[in-house]
Amino acid sequence: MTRKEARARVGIRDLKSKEIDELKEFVDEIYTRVLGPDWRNFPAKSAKPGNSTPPSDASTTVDKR
Amino acid sequence: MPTIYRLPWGDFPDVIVHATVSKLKAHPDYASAKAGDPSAGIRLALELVKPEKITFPIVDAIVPVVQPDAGRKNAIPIAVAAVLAQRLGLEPVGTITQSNDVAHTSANAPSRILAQPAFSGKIRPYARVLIVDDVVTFGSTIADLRGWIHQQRAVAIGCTCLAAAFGSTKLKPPESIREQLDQHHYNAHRDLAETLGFFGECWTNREARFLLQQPPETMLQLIQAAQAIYGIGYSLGRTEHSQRHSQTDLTRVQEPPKEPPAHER
Repeated sequence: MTRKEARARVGIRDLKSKEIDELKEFVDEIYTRVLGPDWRNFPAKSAKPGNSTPPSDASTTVDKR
Repeated sequence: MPTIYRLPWGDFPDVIVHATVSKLKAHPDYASAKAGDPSAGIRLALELVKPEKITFPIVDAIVPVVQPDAGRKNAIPIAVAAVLAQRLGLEPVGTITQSNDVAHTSANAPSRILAQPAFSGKIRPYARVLIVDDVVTFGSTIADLRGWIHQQRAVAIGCTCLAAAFGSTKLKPPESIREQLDQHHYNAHRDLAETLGFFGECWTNREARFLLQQPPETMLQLIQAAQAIYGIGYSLGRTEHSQRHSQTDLTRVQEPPKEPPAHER
């Protein structure tokens, strides 16, 4: 029995990259419906639990002169 | 071939459950949500999720099990993660997905042991993660996702599922079960685990209890089947039985990442 046959016998199938992309699109669709299209920035950094430091980009925009 | 990562359970808590399996499966949206209907998944999550049950003080991100199951996309874990993220103010992670299809929903116990889910995708280092799935049965998916999250230098703090099969909320085997497994199948259960890609200390409670009930010949069949699937060379490295009893070889098990310095958080 080849490894491919052994894997198929117990129902293992590696996903193609296209299928993984489709899964990520599926996640995006559900997150967008619940959290809105800007879900990648959810929650606002200042509202994140345990986040006592300023957003990382804040330090780069401060005029240090 | 995808690699399976696991680590010993440490003090990983019991799975937090929101409803019973019968209540979940009786929900009018269950079948559609399981088959990939986002609207059905969201309706189901909104009705069954109880955010007040999640009481971890330091969780800041949420990772659902994103998987195809026999070719269908399961909307339930993603919808539950979205609802919990919204209610609890958690960062929703949408980058980690399963990288194989193992069709666990209708699988028997040996197939669940042999066909381990593998994951891909990155997560922010040091994220403190809550894992979300729809139903926990053997706990294999949660164990493997937890390992992948740690492999990405984040930390899985806990896990929540809409429902759990009987005896499935405790992922860590009790000490008595681990001792019995060592007494009955010391070499065999470790050979099987190492062929799958992890150490014998990483079995889930249900996996360990299933293996404990098996006669030696079944353990041998499982090892042979695992070798056919994953290859003999995939093992983490075998040691003789006498050596195994004299050493605790956990040096190559992934350690949980240490907390970063405050200025890197």
